[in-house]
Amino acid sequence: MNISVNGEEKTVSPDLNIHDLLTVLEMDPTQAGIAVAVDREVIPKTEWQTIEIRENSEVEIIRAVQGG
Amino acid sequence: MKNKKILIIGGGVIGLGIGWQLAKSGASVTIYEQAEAGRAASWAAAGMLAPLAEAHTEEPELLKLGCQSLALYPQWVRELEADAEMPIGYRVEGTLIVGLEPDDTHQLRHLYASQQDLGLNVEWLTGRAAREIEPALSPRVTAAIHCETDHQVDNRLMVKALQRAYQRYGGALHENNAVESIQIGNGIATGIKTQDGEKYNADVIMLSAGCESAQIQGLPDAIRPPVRPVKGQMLALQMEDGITVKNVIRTVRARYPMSVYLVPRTDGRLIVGATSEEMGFDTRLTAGGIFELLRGAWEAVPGIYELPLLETWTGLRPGSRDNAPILGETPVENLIYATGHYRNGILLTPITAYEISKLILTGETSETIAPFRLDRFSA
Amino acid sequence: MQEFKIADQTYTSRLLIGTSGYPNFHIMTESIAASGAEIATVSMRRVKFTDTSGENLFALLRERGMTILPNTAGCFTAKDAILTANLAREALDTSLIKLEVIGDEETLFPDVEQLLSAAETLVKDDFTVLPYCNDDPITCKKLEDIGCAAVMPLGAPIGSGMGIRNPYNIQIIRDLVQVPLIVDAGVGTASDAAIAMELGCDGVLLNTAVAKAHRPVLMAEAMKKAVEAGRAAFLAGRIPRKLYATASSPQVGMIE
Repeated sequence: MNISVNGEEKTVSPDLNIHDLLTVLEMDPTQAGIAVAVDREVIPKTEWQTIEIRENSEVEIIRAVQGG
Repeated sequence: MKNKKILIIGGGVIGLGIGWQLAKSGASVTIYEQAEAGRAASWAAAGMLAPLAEAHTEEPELLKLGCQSLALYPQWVRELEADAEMPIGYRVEGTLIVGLEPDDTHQLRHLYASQQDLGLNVEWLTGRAAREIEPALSPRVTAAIHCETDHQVDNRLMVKALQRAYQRYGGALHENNAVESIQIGNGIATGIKTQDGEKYNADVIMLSAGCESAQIQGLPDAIRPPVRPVKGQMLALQMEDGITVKNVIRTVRARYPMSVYLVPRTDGRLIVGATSEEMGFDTRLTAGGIFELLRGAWEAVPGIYELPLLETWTGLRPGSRDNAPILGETPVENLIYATGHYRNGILLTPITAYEISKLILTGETSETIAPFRLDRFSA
Repeated sequence: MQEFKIADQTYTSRLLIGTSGYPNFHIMTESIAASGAEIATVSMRRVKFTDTSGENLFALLRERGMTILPNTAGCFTAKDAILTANLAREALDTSLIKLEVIGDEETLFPDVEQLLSAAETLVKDDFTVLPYCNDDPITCKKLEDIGCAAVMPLGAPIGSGMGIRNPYNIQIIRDLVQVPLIVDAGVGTASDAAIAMELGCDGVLLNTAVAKAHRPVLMAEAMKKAVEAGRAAFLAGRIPRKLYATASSPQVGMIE
């Protein structure tokens, strides 16, 4: 299925939960300091294993950077 | 010592430069390069040799190294052009740092004050005086700093020359063959394993893989060089009919987050750079990046408006934690680093090549590069 | 001596410091250490999948025991600021948020209408909201009434280094609001920070003045001293200004 991750179009296999998606993207899902929103709704870490991503979802993955 | 077998990871200007010096002294040298030699950061660079314009008060060691390397350039150019039998576009016109409105002038004054603190040989110019040196500058230029001793070289020619000189002395170059891991046992580096699964042993392993240096497997975390990619977008214009820029021009703009530089090449190309983005290994051009470059360049030199746009590209600078290169011995025996040159790779190539080849041949670290060893990060 | 407290946490240092714009990562960490600050601001941005070697700012600040204050920099609407705040809370495990809703890219002045609306929503959602706002007493009062944990009026535009442009407003705000008052933005050098503290502010948040100084580490140390000096002067109580001199030496027993 097609989804958008941080503004980039990506094709991923269906039935992925957020934990799986991060793994597919070669990111460590257990690392500290990241957060995920799907269609502008923040998904708590506790639900990463359960919430599945639907076709055409807009996923945002963010972390802290230098700022004032 | 001269029959040592030396293996270099990464065939950019640093790897090729060190390889050339070693091969020339009779050592057996092999370079492994993951793509084409010298086509990554070495190719993307603008070739500015500008330790003064880049100087920061809190980076005195880096400034010193840059000035020492700049001083080596005439000798380096003579030697390389003779060995490669080709010119490398070394030019000795200076650098003008310009501002375009009153806020910029204040910003320039701030920079000038820090340059004076550092005792640098720079000169304050009015806008008019700057235009006398460089008539292509906008009439809006309010003030400028002239760094007469900041020069430039055509880095792409230098890549080709280094490759030719290196191979002329028998240096072996394996392109499109990435090094997957470094073999380390009992604190001694013994060889490498390449992408195609082959293993090679060597007496000395020298890591000069630019922003990829931290990605090589087999390095214990404690000695993994803290090097990350810092993306830069750039473009080239073709100068023609009366629009000729002779000096390197850099802008200081208080209004915009980004300054730009314009670097004229002997072949008529005018290089405009560069963004500085923490984007990991992303190498995409963006509308905003190119827009900022063109706006900045056009405001400083309005005449570029009609010039043909030849090329756009991105490169990844190998940025270290303190912007300075990581040079010399590591806690692992027979493993040498020459990486993390960040914005100064072309400038620092001569001193890196001379000093690291000397270190490999004699086993002695000179005082020049001692402050740049990896162990400075563990202090 | 009154304590400096935000969301039940007491801080010794009244200086809050930004992490952006330093010449390099190493100088940033040295500067933060020299400033003595216990609260550091960060921004939230998209992760780059291609980035496997970036320095982890979050881990680094946390290792040093800093309180991390995420901001909503770059947001132009209440909606974006609220999403950013929620992402920050999830990512950094803190309900603290430096709420910025910018109205215009060139001046970076706050959009008051959007700011108030975002603050309302975030306070309702149990955030500890520290809003960056104009040096306008009415706006500050409204933010306090909404339930913000502090108010953070600007001294001058972000990054301008113009100092405290309207000290009288800051003084009025001090009289009007009970929550901590922190000057955020505009500080150019140490005396600016001292002036803010002398006016009775509870803290100063700054970034560019340190990051872009010739010697950031030294400036960080200067800011630390300035904030301490300004606070002490405020508590000590300045003498009134008057036009004519009063001799400070005794007037009797002069040698004839």
